Amino acid sequence: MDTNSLVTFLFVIAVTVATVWLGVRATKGSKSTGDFFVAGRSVNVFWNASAISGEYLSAASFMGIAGLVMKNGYDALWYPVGYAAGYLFLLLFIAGPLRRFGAYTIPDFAEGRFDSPAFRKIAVSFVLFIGFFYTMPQMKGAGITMASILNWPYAVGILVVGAVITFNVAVGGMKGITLVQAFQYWVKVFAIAVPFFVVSAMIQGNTQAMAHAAEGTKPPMVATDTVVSLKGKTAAPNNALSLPVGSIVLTFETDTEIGKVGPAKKGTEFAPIQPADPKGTVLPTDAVSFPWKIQKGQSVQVPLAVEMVNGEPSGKPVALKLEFDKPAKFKISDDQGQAVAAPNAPKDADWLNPFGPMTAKHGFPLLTTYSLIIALVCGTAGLPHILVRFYTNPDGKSAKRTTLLVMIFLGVFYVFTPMWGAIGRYTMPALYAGNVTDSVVIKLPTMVDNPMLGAILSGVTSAGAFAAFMSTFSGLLVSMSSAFAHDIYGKILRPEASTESRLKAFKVAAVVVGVVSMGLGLLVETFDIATMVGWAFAIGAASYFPLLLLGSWWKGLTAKGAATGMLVGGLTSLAAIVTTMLVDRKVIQLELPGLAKALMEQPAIWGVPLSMVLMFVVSKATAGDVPKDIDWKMLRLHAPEALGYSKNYVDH
Amino acid sequence: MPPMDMPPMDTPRGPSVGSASATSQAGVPETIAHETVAHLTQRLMKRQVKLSLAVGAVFVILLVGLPLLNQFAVPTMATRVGPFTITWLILAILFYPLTWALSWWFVKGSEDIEEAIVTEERARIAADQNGRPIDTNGEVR
Repeated sequence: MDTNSLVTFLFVIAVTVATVWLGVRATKGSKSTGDFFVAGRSVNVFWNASAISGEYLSAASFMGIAGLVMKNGYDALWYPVGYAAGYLFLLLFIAGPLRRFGAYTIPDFAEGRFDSPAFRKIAVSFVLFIGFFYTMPQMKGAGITMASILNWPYAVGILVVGAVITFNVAVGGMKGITLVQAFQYWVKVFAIAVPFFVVSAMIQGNTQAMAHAAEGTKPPMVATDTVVSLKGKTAAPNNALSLPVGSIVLTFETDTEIGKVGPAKKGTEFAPIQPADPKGTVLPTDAVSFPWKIQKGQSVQVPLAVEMVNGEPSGKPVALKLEFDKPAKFKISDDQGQAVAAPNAPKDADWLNPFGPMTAKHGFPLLTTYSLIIALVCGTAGLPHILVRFYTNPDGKSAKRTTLLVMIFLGVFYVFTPMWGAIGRYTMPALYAGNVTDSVVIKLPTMVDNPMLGAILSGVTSAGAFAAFMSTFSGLLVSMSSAFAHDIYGKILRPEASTESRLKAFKVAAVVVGVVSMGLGLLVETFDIATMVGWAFAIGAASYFPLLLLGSWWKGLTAKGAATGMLVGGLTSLAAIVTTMLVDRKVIQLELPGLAKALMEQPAIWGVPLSMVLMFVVSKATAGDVPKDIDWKMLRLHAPEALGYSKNYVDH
Repeated sequence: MPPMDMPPMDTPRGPSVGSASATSQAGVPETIAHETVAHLTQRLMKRQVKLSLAVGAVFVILLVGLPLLNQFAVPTMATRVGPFTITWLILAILFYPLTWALSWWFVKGSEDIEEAIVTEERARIAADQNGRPIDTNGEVR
């Protein structure tokens, strides 16, 4: 193990040990079912806000956003804004009533609000659905971080993080992890902020990313002979190398196979100009030559290509895109041995200005932007593992104050993430080439001149990333274990079960869910972290958000209405996203117009209204099902505790 | 910070409140108690939702407005401010304190509303010689 890895490893170990120690310590007071499910409803505003923020800032927030901003520029800024601002909707419409309902889990709300045990079953399946979708990217984050800092196999990182957290949750439940998550929030803020200040102060001349981009004169360059690693076909679309215009030489360090060569802009006709004095084998561009095998040590010259209009060369150069079938490792330079503009990097104007490649790729940038905003803002207010934390507040007033503080904590964190991405654009353009902008937070600190300082700073950000997977995974684990132990075992299967057997069920559920999560994590190595988190948000936005919003404020909502809306809205959104993913990965062939593609990739703009309209229409049609004591239920949801009309739905 | 949006004090006594209290004794007809509850609930929710919608409207204007400005006021939004463009500065930095201000406005306003309601409800109970709080089982205590 070299010094860098050792330093990083020590930081990761430190945060892991602190996590276990705090968990075990907090566990001593954790005895009743109330402690396990809702931390005894006694968590004060500061600690609960720290814990909610700690739980919320996941791998996608800590690593993913900086990477997305580096890759996509302005458009990606909507992610942190949506993640943080979503809490405003939660605060305005959901936080107070939800706490005043006073249950253990979100399915409790579903059942109690409508007096419908059947609806609990649907609600519980969505908790598990959203939970597992959200768990997979956390697991992937753990796997790739350990792979990139310590060269551990992907599975080992997953097993280590999974085992540590499963242990903490199984012994301490919600009370055990509240302190841990609160601690991890402060670790993450420190880990994103302090290295940022040091790095941006030390990397001279490279902090002016936006100034460079605005001038448009200095595209990010990769140094001569930068080594690039790319994944194969299984990681599509991350197996692509979009080259800058020009004559480029790749020198391969592994055997590999190129599946396809085409123009970077789809549909352009082009012809290669054969170089007079090639540096190695000239890459063919006719379809019949592919797949094309390359030997280790071989140099390949990518020829200059020009656009063809009606069979005549127009003189306009065309950028080429290579798609690798097998993993590849190569050095890159131009045919004079000089540095080239970074492959896969967006152009300055696209990066700096709104409506770049991320939102404009299907031709409907404004629509895609709005749909993304809706998904993030409504999705945040529809994540069961976050919502359940509001039950740990003592009352409705503190639930609202907690949300305000959460928004401040999250804003303070998120304001740093885009800046990491902006610095990364000019300081480490090689990350573009390998399609690994996700790791910019971990890798960027190693660019400072003093290698020891670089190793320490990288250790700090790695520890922050580790805290991120651990805290989010522990929250998900509590929420899913509660779904099994409280909703399925305690309410559906064996309502007569004693307190001891409920606690035992919680512990068993925690272990089982932990193991299943690790298994799922092993399956998703080639999926994008941000994409997977997007799935969870889209399902939450079209299922739980409408349920909680209408359930808290509209007396007329019935169980049938709510269930129809949740199921149809949530499942059609999921189907649209999964179809898009399968088309992207070329598992299925489907030619659709741009508008349909835009709406399927980001379904919130129709999924959320669809769910709400169905809830409204079906509730109107089944108006006889509105519970007789609906006014009482509404009073409990909205009356200040001081009036004395409040009553927890579940009490220990 | 915008001024607190306090809703006007509506009269705390609806006819149904009076009738409920007037017949408050063992075996109160459920319909009367139910009306009391319905009235109180409606009053509570109306005030709270008004505030929520007011704050929510400002937030939605921000969310809808920024992409529209990006679309239709390109040169203005691309004006340089230090290392940023205006629109980058707004979305990457200024948006956060704006949402903090909105949520502070809501939390403060919502606490004021709830305090006012508690005061009024207590006054109603005290002023009515037969007035009694309704308990959580829907019967008069």
